[in-house]
Amino acid sequence: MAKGKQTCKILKEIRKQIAAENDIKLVIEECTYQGDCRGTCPKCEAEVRYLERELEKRQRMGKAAMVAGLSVGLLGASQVALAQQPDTITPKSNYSEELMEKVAILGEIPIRYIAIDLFAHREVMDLFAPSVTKNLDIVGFNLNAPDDWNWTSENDFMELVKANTKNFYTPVFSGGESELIDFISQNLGKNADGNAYGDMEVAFTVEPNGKLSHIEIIKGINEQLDAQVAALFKFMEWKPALWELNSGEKIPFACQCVQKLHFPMITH
Amino acid sequence: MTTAKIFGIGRHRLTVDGEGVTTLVAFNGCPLRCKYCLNKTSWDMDKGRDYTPEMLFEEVKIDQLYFLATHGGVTFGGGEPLLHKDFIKEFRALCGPQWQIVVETSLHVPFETVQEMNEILDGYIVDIKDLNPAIYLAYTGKENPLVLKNLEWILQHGDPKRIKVRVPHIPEYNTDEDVTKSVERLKAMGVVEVEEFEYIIR
Repeated sequence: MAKGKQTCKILKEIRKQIAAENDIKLVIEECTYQGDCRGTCPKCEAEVRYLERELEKRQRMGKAAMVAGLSVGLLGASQVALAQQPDTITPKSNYSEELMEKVAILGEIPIRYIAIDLFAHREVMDLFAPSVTKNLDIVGFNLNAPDDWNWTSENDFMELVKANTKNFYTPVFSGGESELIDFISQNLGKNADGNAYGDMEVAFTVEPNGKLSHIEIIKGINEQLDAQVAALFKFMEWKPALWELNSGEKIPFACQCVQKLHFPMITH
Repeated sequence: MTTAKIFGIGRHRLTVDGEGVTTLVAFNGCPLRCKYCLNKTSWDMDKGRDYTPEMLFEEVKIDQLYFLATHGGVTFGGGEPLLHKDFIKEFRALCGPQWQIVVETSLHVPFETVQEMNEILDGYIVDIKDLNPAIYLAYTGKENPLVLKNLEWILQHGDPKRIKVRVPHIPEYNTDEDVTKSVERLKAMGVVEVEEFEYIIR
């Protein structure tokens, strides 16, 4: 297995351990990037930022954040285990070659590629605020910078983002959330479990073309209903997330979301 | 304001520069001129980017969760990181005691620097070159008694397990027999972590 992929798997294991130990729901998608990476990518970075925010929330509520030394034994064990695993990368790519190639090599030291990490920059995250709905969480995304941008560090990149961004628009089901509820409700129809009660959470990625991928029920109600809802999400098309630059250009980008659904559903 | 030229930051290094997940920060500036130096960029004090400890901390703290979970942290290399003692001390004040701070050093620095920094550092990776003074001089252009004095002192002032001494096979400069002699002498000094390795020649 290539070194970058091996690093990625180990870091992912560490994130899983932190999430499990702190009772944090973490949506881990199978990486579909073909080829070697640098061990991390915008999606991985977004997961780390998500964990940090969740740990902060817990600390504000007076709970301890269980992190210190949690994965100390993992590195040696993982490296042996990983060496024995077949490479499971599928020939699809969520990330452009260009983005992954934003790497400079100086001497022997690989300079880290510039993580596009908006969650760490609240003032940029606020640009999302006008279009966020209470039932849709954004847990990760991937921006491809315009070709004519040059940067040498994450901070430089963030300055460019702040200086050039007019707005971020979250992905949205055509017609909005009420239409989404109607779509699900109508298509579940008489096959639905009429006694289903509670909250469901569906994780998925809205690709730049509006198609949904990586659909997973992360909080289910019952097996049958979970499967039905997951199947419906496969048929959906959303308006993709848009990055609106000051120039007026709008660039669609992949956005990882969690949609909350309340059962029984109230249709419109 | 303390600043230093840094020519490279490498993230997610797994157990190669110390325990756990580490970020390698490479400083410019080195007192030695080793023929097979991997980072000759570090000799040029004009290259690299100016950082303050605050700027560096802001940049590398994105991996804090990994550092904490694996007992990792930041490894300062270069170049010779101990030429930047004030920078590292200020960085330690920013990151706190939980991050592991390790230096990849030749120990060819003033004795007072080693004394001053010993409490701040969690570990050393020492590239000792060769203990034979003539070989050391021929390869690095410098004498090595200072290195041995510094090594002896840090061995006596802290757990020897935190000090890994790397002994290279240096083509055209030392022989396998020289390396064996160096290793034996190091063990006699009390070094418990010794690693022989081959230099990469390019």
